[in-house]
Amino acid sequence: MITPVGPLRGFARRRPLVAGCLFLAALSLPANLYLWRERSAVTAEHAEIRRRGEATLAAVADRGRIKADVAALTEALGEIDRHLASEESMEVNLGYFYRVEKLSRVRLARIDQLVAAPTIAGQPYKAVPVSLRVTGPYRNLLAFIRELETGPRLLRVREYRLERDPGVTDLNLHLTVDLLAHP
Amino acid sequence: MLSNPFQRHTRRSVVIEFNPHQVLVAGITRPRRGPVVVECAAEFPAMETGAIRDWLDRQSDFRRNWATAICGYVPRQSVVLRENVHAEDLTDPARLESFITEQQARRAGSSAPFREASAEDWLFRAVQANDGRALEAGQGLQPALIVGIARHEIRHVEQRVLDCRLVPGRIEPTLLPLFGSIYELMARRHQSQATVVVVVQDETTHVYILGKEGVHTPPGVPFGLTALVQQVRRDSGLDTDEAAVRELRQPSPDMRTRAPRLLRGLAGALRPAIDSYEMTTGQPVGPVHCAYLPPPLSWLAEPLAVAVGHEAFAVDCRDWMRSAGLEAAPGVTLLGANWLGALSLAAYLPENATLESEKGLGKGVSFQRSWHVDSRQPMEIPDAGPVRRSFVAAALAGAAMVLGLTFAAWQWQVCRTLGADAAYWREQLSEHRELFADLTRASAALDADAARLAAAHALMHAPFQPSDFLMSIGQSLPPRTRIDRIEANDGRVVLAGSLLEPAEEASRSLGLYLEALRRAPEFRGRFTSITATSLQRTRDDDALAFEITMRFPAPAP
Repeated sequence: MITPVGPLRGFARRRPLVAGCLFLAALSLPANLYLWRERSAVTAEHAEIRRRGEATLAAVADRGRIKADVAALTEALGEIDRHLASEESMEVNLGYFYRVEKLSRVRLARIDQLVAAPTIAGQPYKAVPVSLRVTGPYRNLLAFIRELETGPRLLRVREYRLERDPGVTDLNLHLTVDLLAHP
Repeated sequence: MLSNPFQRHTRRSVVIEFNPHQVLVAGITRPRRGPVVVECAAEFPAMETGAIRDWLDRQSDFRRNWATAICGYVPRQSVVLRENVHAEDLTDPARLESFITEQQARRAGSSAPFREASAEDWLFRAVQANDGRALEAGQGLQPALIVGIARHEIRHVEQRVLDCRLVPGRIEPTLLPLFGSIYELMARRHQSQATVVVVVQDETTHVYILGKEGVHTPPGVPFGLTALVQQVRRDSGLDTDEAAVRELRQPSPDMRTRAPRLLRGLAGALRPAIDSYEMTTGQPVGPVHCAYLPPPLSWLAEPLAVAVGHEAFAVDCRDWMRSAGLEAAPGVTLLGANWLGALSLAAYLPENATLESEKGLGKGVSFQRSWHVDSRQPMEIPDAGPVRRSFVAAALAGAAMVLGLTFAAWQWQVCRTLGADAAYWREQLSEHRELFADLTRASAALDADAARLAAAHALMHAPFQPSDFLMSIGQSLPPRTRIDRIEANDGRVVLAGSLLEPAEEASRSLGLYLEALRRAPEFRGRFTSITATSLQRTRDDDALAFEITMRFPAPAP
């Protein structure tokens, strides 16, 4: 059997430089393949850990802002929660409007707490509708509305009708408001 | 003392001599200290080349391709002249050419192969005729031994050396080192007589007389080995030249007896030159040395000396080697008298000396010895194809190696760098793990609180505050206009009132009022339309009752 060892040895002896270069080039081939796989694995692992690391560092850098936001939100929600209405406590709810009536010097001719819409599961709040009929001079009625808008209870004026009766100086104000309440 | 392991202690070279009858090859090692050792030696026929390479390939220490060779040769076309010259004459090529031409013209009838010297075709080297040292400028007329060699012969020798895959480190006319060695032998023997050196070539025979005043160079004689063969053929009655040559190389006792008679013609041609020397110098001539005769013909030396009227010059190479800084390795059996010229090439190599071709490889110093001149020519490669192919192959192999190794090194470096970076990020993650968990919890709480706030906003937000709207309406009301009713819900706002003006003027005022409402910043953009939906005369008076509807945009689904 003819083996290539003899010719190779002869070639290496005749051209040691070329043979040495070719030997090293051939040796570098499997080394490059191995390193290619290693590099791919290391690159993927590095990209993942770097992404996580950068997210962590960004979060750490934003720590102050997050804490401040949390504090502000907590305070705001606390303020809301302290003044939430309760559908079951009608007297408390209506009492709030009588207090505003007194402050704005109008006459609360009629006030009714309406039935709230059913609460959706998971909702932290619900709206309790209240219907009001108020009479008084224009300025006082405006002050009444302003007091409701800026008062401690969160409410939304859903509908209103401001009208004057013929021959009467006072105005009539029909209001329907939604009070923010515990679910 | 510790030796530097990176210092190469021994250099290996090849000594190769091309003489008229043989090619003599010896492998020598040159240790840093001590004599040069002849490791191996071989003799080849004069025109052999391939067998030399094969023989070198069989020598374990000398089979490396392109090893350095110290080359000597006896040119077929050459001139060796002794003349008194100024050293300056030899430095200017034009002066040297005219000088040599003039000297040759005086030697009418000599066997010198040229009549007109040309530096293009001939290479001239000169040493002092008495001691072989280089000529010194400014010393006036000096007896010089001028050696002229045809350049094409030098190129031929170089090509033969290259054919043996050797690099010529030096190429010397071997006659000069031979003269030096013979002078040294004469000195050791306290020989006062001159020595005659005879070089028998195929067609001519050259004679050189080595006396006290240096080397004398009588003209050569046109009687060489060919003429001797013809004489043997005639004398012995042989049919062919081959038979005559065989008779000469394997002499019978009868041939040895007849030898002085056979050599009488050659001796007769040489004797006038010897006699002339004795008469002109007054120095007696002693032994005769036949140089370069191969072992089969070496027996001719003694009959020739006897025929000339002198005795043969005895040469014991091994004895001479000891004083010449040479040593034969055990097992080297050759090294007869015919090796004197070849071994003279390597004699007295100073320690740490470097051949010309080795200069680029190390820090050695070149050497200059008496009786040694280098006659190498700029290399001319007749066919550059193999060299080009070899270069391209080496360049490609080198490029492949560099590419492969560079790519591997780059990948390794990338792996290393990414690994270090990943370790840094792992460390950062480990250090901030608790903090990050705390922040994650805070973010979750923030999201939950934001969701609650968003729910509250969804329930309570309004497009604008009714109080602001009522005040804006009051401020924008034109004169002689009265609002009786304002009604609002999630979809629209209705303003109802009356204009206390004549009908035509009232309708114009209502139009202007609508335009003013649409342009007012507090209403523009909040309503999709602001239109009058009713304009009627009232029953009680001439006022016009109107109704304006302002529509909110439809809520997003």
